[in-house]
Amino acid sequence: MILRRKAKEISLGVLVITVLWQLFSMILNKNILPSPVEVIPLFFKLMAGELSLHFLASGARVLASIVLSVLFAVPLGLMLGQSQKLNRLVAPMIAVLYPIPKIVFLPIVYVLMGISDFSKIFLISLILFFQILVVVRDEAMNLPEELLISAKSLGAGRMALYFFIYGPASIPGILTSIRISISTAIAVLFLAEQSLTEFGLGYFIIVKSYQVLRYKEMYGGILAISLLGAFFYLLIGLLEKRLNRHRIEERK
Amino acid sequence: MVEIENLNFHYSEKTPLFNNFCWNMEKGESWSVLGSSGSGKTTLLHLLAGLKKAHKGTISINDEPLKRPRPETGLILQNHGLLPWTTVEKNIELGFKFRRFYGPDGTHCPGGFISDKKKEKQQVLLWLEKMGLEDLGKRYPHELSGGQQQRTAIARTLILKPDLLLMDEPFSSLDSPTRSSLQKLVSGLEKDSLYSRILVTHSIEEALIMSSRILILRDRGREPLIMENTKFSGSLEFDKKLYDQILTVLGDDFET
Repeated sequence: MILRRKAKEISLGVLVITVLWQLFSMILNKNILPSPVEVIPLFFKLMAGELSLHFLASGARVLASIVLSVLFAVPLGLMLGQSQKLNRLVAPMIAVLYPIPKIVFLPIVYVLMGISDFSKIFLISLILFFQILVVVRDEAMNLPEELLISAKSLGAGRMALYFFIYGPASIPGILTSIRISISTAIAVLFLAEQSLTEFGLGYFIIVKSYQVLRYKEMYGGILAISLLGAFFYLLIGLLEKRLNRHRIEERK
Repeated sequence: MVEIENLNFHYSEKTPLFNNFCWNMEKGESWSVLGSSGSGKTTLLHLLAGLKKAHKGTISINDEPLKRPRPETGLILQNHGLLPWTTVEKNIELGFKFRRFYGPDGTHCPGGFISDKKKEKQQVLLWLEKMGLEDLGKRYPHELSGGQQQRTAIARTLILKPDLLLMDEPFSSLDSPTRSSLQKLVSGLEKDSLYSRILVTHSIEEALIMSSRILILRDRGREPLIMENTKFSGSLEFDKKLYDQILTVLGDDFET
């Protein structure tokens, strides 16, 4: 039901934007804004070939950085959430590092980690890392006492508390923080891919299209990167809905 | 069953909650603990559950000194503590999940426990039925009434067949008809199970309905008292005379 309504909503949005795009391109009548009638067929043609490789390269980097950030942020967040002492020590550092736009670390990451895929993945992981870290920590800190006490009385030790209580309790928060920071992550990826790589949508849009004035191809690339963002956003949104049933119903 | 010897416990040095406190409980007995707020009722229960450590003295259960929560002790709280993200059925199964996770290690799961997933699932269904929750197994805790949530919590604890059941104000957040029906239910369940029970409550009436012996904790360092509830019958009738006597002992600052 919700899915069908959502699909309808999205199709309508796409339609309206395409119509507006067409209108503006007719009014402006310049190369920098080609009409969707030209771009959309070209997009499919490009996706059948070269563009799909760039799409996959960017997608893989995003996916890898989600995995990497979850892998590090979740255990650390759980630790901080359980130890007030440790949190008091680390919280000020988080408070300072959290608001820094992580893209400024780009040159440092390149110098320290080399010009590799990993350095790009690491950079976008940083964005997700802090979001997830803070959410998991707060989630663990605010778990109701009686939940923990009763689990302990049923036999749970530290490990079981992680797996059965803290873990599931923080999953909705993890998903939400990934979803809300995914577009920032892709923006940073877009910038990072503009140099020192030969694959990725950032490279395709800027180096292979924009810098050689191939505007129609550039729009094909923009469509692809939009699709990538929308894909992750919707996928995570769906997961949230599935795993979050009790919360959604509570809100009603 | 339970032996407390020279227990000392305090939250701040100035106001000790327990000062060389001694208390014994025989197997199969049902006790209530009464006392004004701040007298240490819940603390005592948490100490017995192994969730807090005594500063001095020992607590032994079945002649074993208590160091951590025992897998054979069940605990039921005022606020059920059900996992909000999973169903009633899965909540009731939670203790079995912990036992499967650790295996019969003797500290988290009783030694000699052999897991049989199929039988455990059947047990869950049986308990749903016993507690009158048979149609609610697939629901989430927040979709249940307070009484149903507490029934779920009771099922989740009793399904593990504890030999000692600790209850901390288990019925106090329920409305009075629900409370009576749950008091009856718990008393009824005890006829076919063999656990000793300690119930912490602020209701004298509940203490008289639910237990044969009553421990009264008093504040300002006054000695605790033990009252025998000779007219305890397991029904909802209670001894009015004893009620007044306890009320006098507890004094003015006790709210019923």
